[in-house]
Amino acid sequence: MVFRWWKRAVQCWSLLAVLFALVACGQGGAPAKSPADAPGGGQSTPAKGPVAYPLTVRDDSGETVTIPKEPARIVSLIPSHTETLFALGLEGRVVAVTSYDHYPPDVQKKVEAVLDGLNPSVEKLAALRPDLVVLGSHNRETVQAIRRAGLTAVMYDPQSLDAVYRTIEQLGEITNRTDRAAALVEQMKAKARVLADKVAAVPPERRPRVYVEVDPDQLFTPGRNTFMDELIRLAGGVNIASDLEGWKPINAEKVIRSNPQVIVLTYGYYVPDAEAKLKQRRGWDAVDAVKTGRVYVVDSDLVNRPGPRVVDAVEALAKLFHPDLFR
Amino acid sequence: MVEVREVWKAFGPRAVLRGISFTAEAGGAVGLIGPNGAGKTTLLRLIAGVERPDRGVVRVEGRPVGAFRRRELARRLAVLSQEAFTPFPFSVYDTVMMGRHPYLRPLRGITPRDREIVERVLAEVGLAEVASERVDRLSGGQRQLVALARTMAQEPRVLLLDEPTTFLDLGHQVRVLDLVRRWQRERGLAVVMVLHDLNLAALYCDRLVLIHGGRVAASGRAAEVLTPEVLESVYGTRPVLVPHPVRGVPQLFVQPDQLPEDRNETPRRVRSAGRE
Amino acid sequence: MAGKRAWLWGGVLGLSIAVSVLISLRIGPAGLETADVWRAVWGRLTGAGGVPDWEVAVVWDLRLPRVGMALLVGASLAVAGAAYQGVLRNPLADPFILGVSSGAALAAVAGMLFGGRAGLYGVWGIPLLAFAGGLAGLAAVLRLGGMAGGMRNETLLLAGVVVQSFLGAVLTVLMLASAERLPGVMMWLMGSLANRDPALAAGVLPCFLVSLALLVAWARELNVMTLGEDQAAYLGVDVGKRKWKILVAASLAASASVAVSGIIGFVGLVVPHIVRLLAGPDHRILLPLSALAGGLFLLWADNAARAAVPGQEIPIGAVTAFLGAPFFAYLLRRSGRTR
Repeated sequence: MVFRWWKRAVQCWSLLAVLFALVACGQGGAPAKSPADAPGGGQSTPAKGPVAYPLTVRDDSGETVTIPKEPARIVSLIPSHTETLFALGLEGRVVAVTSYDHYPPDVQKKVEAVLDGLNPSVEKLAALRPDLVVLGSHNRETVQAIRRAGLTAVMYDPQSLDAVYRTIEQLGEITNRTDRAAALVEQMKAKARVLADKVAAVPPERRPRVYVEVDPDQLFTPGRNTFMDELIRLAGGVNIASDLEGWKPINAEKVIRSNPQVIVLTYGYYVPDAEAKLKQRRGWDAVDAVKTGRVYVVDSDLVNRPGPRVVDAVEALAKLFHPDLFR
Repeated sequence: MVEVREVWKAFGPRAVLRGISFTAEAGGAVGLIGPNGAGKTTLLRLIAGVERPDRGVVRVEGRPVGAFRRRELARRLAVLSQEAFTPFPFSVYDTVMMGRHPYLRPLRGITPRDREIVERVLAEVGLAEVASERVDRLSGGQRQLVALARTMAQEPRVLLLDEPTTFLDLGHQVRVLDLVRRWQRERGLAVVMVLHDLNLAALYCDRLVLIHGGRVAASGRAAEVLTPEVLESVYGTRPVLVPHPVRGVPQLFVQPDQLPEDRNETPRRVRSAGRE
Repeated sequence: MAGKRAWLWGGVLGLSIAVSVLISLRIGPAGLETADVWRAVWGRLTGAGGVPDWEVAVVWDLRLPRVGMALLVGASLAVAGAAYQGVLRNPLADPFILGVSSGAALAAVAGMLFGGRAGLYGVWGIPLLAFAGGLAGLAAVLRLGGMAGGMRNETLLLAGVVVQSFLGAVLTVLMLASAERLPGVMMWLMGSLANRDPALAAGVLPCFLVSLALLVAWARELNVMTLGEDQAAYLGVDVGKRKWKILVAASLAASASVAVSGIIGFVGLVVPHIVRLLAGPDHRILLPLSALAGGLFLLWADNAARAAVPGQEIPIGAVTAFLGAPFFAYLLRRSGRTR
């Protein structure tokens, strides 16, 4: 009888072993999301002066897009680009944004329509008769579906500060706002330089270990090659999840073991008392950030949006990491 | 012991039983016979108390069946039907022990007396050897013996059988019914059985109740009920009846329709079954 | 003799659980060595200094509660499965097939999404809400399958599939309605013990204990009921009432556990079968042994879920389905043959 039991047990576990193998393979083969490189195929310095249409650009989807004339009806399907477009003075030309758009304030009231940004209805989109659709971190299928509908669509998904600058310049060129784009980027770079100088003075041992959590159920956190990872570094922090690639759920054990000195939460807008809930988690009281009360909720719009306010996000984080620098 | 009085039962608009009455005495066996859909099984379920009559009353030991608690009733009345098996691998012993369920008290487990009864019953039906076998590994005939042993472990005074021999081979048919009859005689059991096989009914029942269209079409001793006229009026075919060569009770042969090519066979003249 | 075998297997399972708990405490991405685990265990017990805080926290506050939840959820599902199979005389019944898990998950999710306003949070709110949902799911499946005794396997399965699909759809839509919780859908549909608040288990444990106690008290009736409802009545069981009581008691354990873990399939199916093969079908033995074996099974399923892929977790429901679905296919094939 015992023997039979063991036999059965062995069978069960050999099954499990197959499972291990399968899942492990799947993991190894998964393509890492490549960080978006230079958009615009190297056209990082657009020509000054009025733009000559039709204009041909290469966007982050890797395709060449021809913009026939200066866009007059623009739909932005990603809040970061909305911010850029408004910063370029295109209010009035932007005819639709997403339900996630909250900046500039009251932006949703300034447009004709508010769309579902994640899974936009192509029909609704077409009915707005836009001459330019601006896309961001949308998947390939969405981009293609919109293009198949005969709409002119550009897709930019910047994953680094430099890429944000380039994206702003690119959007400026497409919308015939090159000068304003250049000025905006210059302003951002200047602010970033001031910040960088401040942070550069901080010795490595005084840079806090930082854990960023964007989802309380799965503990989603930004790993290497994410925009957030760069923001943490620029703000003078050390991301505890930098051994992960891209956005990943992290194991609570690893967080506790890494013992972050600062914890940043981005979901405060939908989870009430987010800091308090995190501090009450069992076992997290062993973490320095909890012990010293350095658990912060930040505006997710600010830190999650690679747009014109991205330097402000660095500043906001830097103030959390190094309050003494900003006294 | 069992008294069925003017019992009516309908399922929706369909009246299944319309005023059935009969009694079964201790030590005697009543056979319920009749065509398919005559309401025999319903009648048995009414006696067992799992259905309620619309009108009329069923009494066991003088008390209406509905007035018993299930446990009380189960100590007096047992039912053997087909297909009363678990899909799980219980042993023969454990299955027969389930017959002691109406006697078990919560928290107090199986007593030595329960074991004694189960072992005795197993020996009587000849299953002592296979007591620790799994029921689902036995043959159909042996399984029916297990079920019979279980009903006997209940120590009932009334035993209801619903077609207990269907699907059994000849040997097991006789074995099951012989055991029932032995217990009936030895322990003064009142037996009510639904039987499809009229010949077995004639052999094993002291009285037959022929049910047709929800009413009693005929009742009495086998020789009174099993006549060509009565059977033809109920079954729509006229059988030939001869006395059993040993027991003398009527036994029946069906008569196929005569086709032209059967003409050259000389039909044998058969005496109609006479009174004993 | 059956009693002796029960104690034997009870001992084997108890010992396996003890050993498994110790091994499980060693498994995790924080990479603690056995000595570290011991030191951490010892550290909290004695208050001895010199043990890093994080090691104590990982062992005591993360791994131990998780091990406990796996045991509790597994035991609940297996006990419920054993009871369902017995009372419905259907070897394919389990909380997942019967729509209990889906119903409970839906109610629990609804409670968490809208509960803030209704003030339903707390240790008891969610498990009890899940209980109500589980019963509703069960009622739907049994109603659809036609309660008429000895429901055929195929009918029950079809009814289960229909109800599960429907409830799953409602659940998905409900969760999509608040898009931030998108990852949570997965957790509820495929089950997970990751990052669950151990406080929830405090509400589940009493539910499980009450359910197990009631079912064991009714184990004899359950045995008799496997003969069929009529036969059980002939043997003195008040079938009408008892059957519902058993279904409700089993659903209590199953639903409450869903509130902790989401939908984990096949545990309630596989475990009672194996226990029956080892220790026989007597529910007095089957139910407690299923609790032990279910806990053990889910503990290892959870270990696989968190250790199979380094740095990432797979939903525990995927692990149990991976093992359970082939087993189910085997049972289906076998039940088809004997028919």
